[in-house]
Amino acid sequence: MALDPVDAVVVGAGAGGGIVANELTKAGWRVVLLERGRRQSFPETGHLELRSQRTTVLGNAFGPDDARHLRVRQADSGAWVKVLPSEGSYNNTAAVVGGGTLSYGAMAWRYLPKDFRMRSTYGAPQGSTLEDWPLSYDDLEPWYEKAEWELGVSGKAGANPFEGPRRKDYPMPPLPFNREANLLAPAGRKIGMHPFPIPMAINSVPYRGRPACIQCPHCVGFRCEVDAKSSTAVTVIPTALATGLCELREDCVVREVLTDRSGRARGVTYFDKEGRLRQQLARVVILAASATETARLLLLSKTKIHPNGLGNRYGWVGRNLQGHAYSGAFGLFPMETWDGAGPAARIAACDFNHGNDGVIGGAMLANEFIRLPYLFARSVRPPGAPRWGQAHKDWQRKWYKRSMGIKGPVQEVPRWENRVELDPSVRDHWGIPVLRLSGRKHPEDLKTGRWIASRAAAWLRAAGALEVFETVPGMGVPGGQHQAGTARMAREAKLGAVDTDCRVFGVDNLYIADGSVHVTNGGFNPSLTLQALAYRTSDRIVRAGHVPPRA
Amino acid sequence: MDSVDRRNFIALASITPLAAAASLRFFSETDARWVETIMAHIIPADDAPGAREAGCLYYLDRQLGEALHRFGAAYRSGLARFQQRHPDFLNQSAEAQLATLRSLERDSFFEMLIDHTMQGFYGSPAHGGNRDGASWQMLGIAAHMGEGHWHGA
Repeated sequence: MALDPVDAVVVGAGAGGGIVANELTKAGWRVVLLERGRRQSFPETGHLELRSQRTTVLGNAFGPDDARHLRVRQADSGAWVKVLPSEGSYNNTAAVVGGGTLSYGAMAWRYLPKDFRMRSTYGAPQGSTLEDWPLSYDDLEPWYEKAEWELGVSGKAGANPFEGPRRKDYPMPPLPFNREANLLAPAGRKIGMHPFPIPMAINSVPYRGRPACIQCPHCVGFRCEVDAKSSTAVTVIPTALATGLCELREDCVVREVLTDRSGRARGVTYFDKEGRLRQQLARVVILAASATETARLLLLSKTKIHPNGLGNRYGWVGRNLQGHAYSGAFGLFPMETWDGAGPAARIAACDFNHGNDGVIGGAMLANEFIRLPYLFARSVRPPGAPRWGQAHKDWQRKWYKRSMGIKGPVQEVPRWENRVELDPSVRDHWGIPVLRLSGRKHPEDLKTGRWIASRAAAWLRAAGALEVFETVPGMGVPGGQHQAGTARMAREAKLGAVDTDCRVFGVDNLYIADGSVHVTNGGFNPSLTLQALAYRTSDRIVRAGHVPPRA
Repeated sequence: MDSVDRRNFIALASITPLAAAASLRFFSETDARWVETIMAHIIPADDAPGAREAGCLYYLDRQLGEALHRFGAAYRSGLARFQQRHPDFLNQSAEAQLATLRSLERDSFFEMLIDHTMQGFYGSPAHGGNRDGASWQMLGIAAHMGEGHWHGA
């Protein structure tokens, strides 16, 4: 069943899609925003650790659900195994209005200038597809600024001596230090580091009609109780809807991008809430469904003109899947480090993002979000800590408030073999082929991870830790919530899937607004970068002449 | 837990019937006794509640009909095997029971039970365990958990 054509259809109401929808309505465009999840209010999920987006033993709070979604991944043995969305190896991103930004930790980082020039800085190690971005930090700087001000980011300009030049300060001061940050700040300086408050997409003061953070200890993995977190669900999406030009359709699962005989995009087909197949025609199509699901849609949309899927003439779609090889350390302290003040992640340092001897790239280091009790009892603890019995109980009592973690998102070296593709036989609830994931991290990632873990350990020791335990990354399929790279941005079609306007090569009215386009993923949480790009891409879409100027 | 919390707990425990009369959905009364006895060793009671007092059995029993449905078969077979191998377990002294469980380290049934006991003990009371926020009181964080808590308020 075909619906009235619109100017643009955006697939995915998450970090990037919400921004594009809002920017296009500003230009007077009529937009349909399709989301596989729905709007969720705070009371629906509350503060339940076991059913959050971080601990999913009782399911994903913000989807996707285990009943209808499935993926396949390659085990270390080489066998293909089915995985559910609540299992870690699914490489999940939330299926809800706001996407990952509804429940993320909300660190709002700008990548460093060198993060856009990884190949020029380090060369490409054997077995990698390490490359420079075709854009520079300077190209993105105005768009980072726009994202910081439009969405709402708190931070302190000039506090990070390694940051690239910025024209404007943050719109809000940083959140106050908690006890951990007050311990780590002088300790870091003592060993020559340059710690500073983490920039967060969380209000430190009331901003644009939303209140300041109440510093509850939950935060990452949860929807904010007071909407102090600058999710697209409470910022740009409501703004877009208020114009009357944007229609948000929830519980809609897109099956494919439609193209015409000349190969241009015509719209999409999708299954609506009742399971009916619908067709939404549009002058422009924007995919913002995450690095895994956007790649899946490109691969699903095969035609005679595009026999390998869209943007895939040279085989780049689904390749170079990357996330972050998280590494760090965990320390036990003689004094209480816990003060209950969320989000707890408050202090970071960029001393080890670059310039590390014999290592490619590196990572920002930051203290961890508050460890909720089950996570502390099961996974975030030193090896050998008693797992049950009276000794377990004693250990919990003694150390829960006297421990601290520091971690860094190690920038991964991309590999051609790390990929998502369509499974030849397994289908989901809607009969659509599911994704299958395969690959292994590059050996350089382990080397970098070990170095970063040693730096995290040194910082904890300087802060007075009695014992320190280092953690290095697993080497399996990369991705996770920071998934990126599967539709690489490049100057020419032979070298990637989209151009520098994030327009898909070979389909001049199809764009991407998510982490798929990242060439490399920086040593940082990637959301602000993909959001800055979404602002830039929106600007390019409006100026491309697809729709006659309005207003 | 500070001393005031401890006194509060002891006062509360004396008036709250332990293992309240919640009805079981998955386990039979007999199987429930086996599971709860093992759980009471995984997190024993001392001057603060353990897994039994916190209602971990009721967390597991309820969730096996809901989000943990996929573990149902493993519980049926795992418990039957445990009962077959250790028929006198319930009649043993606490020390002997503990020795039996120590010999099971890394056994898949015992590992599963450890994990679900931890979930029941540390997770939200809304899921059926952690009665009266027992683990949160033990850790001294009860005032910060749940909803509506402003830091410093």
